[in-house]
Amino acid sequence: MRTRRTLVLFSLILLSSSLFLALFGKKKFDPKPPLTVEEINGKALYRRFSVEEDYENYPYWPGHDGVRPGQSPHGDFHQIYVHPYLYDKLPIQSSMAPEGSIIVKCNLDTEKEIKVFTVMAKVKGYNPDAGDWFWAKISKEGDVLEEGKIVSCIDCHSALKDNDYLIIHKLERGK
Amino acid sequence: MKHLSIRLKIISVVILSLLLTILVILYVTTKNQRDNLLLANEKTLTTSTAMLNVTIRNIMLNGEAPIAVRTVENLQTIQDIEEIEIYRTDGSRAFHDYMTLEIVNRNLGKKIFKKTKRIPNKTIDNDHFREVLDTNAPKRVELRSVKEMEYYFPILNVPDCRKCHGSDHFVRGVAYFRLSTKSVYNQIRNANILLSGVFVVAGIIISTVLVIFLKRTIIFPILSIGGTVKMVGTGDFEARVPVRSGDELGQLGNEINQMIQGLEERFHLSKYVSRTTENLIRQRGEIRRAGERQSLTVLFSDVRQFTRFSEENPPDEVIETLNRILQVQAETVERFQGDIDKFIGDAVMAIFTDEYTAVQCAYHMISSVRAIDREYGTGLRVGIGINSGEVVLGNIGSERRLQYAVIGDVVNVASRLSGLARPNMILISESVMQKLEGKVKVKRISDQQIKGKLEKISFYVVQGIIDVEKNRWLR
Repeated sequence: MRTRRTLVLFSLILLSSSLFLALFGKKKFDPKPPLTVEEINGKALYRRFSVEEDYENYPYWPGHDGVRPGQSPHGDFHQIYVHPYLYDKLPIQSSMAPEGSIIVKCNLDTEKEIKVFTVMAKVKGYNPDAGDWFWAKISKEGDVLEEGKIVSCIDCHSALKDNDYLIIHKLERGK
Repeated sequence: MKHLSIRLKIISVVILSLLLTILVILYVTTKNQRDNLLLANEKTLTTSTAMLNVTIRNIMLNGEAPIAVRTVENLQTIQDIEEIEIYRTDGSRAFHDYMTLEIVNRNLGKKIFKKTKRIPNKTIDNDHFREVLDTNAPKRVELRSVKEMEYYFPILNVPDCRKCHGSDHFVRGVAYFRLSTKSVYNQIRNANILLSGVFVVAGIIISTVLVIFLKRTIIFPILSIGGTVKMVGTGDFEARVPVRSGDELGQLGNEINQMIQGLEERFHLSKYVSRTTENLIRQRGEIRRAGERQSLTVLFSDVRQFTRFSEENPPDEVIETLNRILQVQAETVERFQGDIDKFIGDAVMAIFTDEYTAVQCAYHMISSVRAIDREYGTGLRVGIGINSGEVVLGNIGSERRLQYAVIGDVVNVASRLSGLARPNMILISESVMQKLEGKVKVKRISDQQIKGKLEKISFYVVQGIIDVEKNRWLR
């Protein structure tokens, strides 16, 4: 009788622990290999950061976490997630983001709801003239609105060419 | 320390709980409202800033810098806008000198802008300003202590701007807004006052209803039970708990009423049961049929000429007089720690643990009955016989009806002595006399034949008894 009670108690503890871990435990992040020139397109990129690797597992730029005020053309507020391929390398003295870097910028409206994703992905050999960045504007449902070598993106970001077209965080600075 | 009454405790708990609930609701509501109002303010500010950014940019792209300056100045007259400034990345105020104008003219290769009147310079240098330049992203700061909000908005050197301003920098400057949030806090305060009022009124109403409800359903029944128990404690077995509900307290009231009824029955029953019987029942918890031997003194008191009295007087008076005589005798027995074993018609049988007490009691029984005669003119007296020795005690009767009785020759002899005693006379046996040497004055009656005894016995008429406490003879 006592053994049976102990067994039931042990099972309950095991079950509740598993449930707790399943609900609140941090999932181990398993990065996929960087997208190649042949693979890259808006759909593939969306699948990568939203399905294969949940972008919410990416860290924020150091010192720029959570919802922050933004400005046109990126929405009234934003949240920026940085792929660990890039984040883990910080600081980068060469100011060149490594292959596989993905920066997901959630463009939020005044209600702080996601309107659209604007994404940069470093693809080796994709566009050597503009830092090999693949640019994309994707709706929150996953529809690709613009993709590739988007001129307006490159024009604006080119003012920070020395920081590999990245605006918020200087690569040579640490975490 | 005096204990708080249950009424006070319950009312205190109700009021404290309500007060706590109201405070929590008030806090949550206020915080929620404050957050919502500030968020709404932030949304408005964000939209306004974006509009201003577009406006200034378009004005500047059309080469109308003085209009941009005037626009910024005029915006400061709007209510709640405390300050609007545009600062260069070095922290100096834009449009305070001709530096930008000259750079633009140089970049365009011609003097496109005239040197119009400049505004006074002032500078900004704080962590928020530097952070905005560092991250190239806007920043909002809430200054709660002064009820203001600051907004730092980077003016980006977007491609349209680069034609005039060059492409060697990403941020042209920072637009700085300082807004008053006093109106927001005023709204919060007014809402708080209104909410507090509503909650206080609601709290008072709910408290009152709750207190009345609790008073009727819990406090009153508990106090009633307490009051009833107290009355029973003083001997009032007529008291009953008023039962008005069928809940647990109602059931408790019913059970207490049943208990009181049981107590009342037992109390009345105790009049019919000797103390010895009660003690034995208490001690043993179960009824034993086996007898036991014990050395006791047995007293019999019999009313003389009662038969004639009963024939000459109406039944009511007979019973009343008899009860009066038996009552004073029973009280006297009790006073002397004796135990009424039974009433047998007009006779009383009592038992004592020692002879001297029994004789003392007998003396006072006679005095009491004489007092009744003096008061009511009954003409009745008692004669008393006392014997001591080993008796048999035990339960006698059927299984359904038992009587705890004292039996044996000692009892019989005491009864016979009582029968022989004349009015106001105490007769004691030889065994009693042996224990009272020096304490009584007696007259010996030798060799008397009594009913039920084969041998003749001697007994004694008590003529006086010494009162040990007062050291005098009672006759």
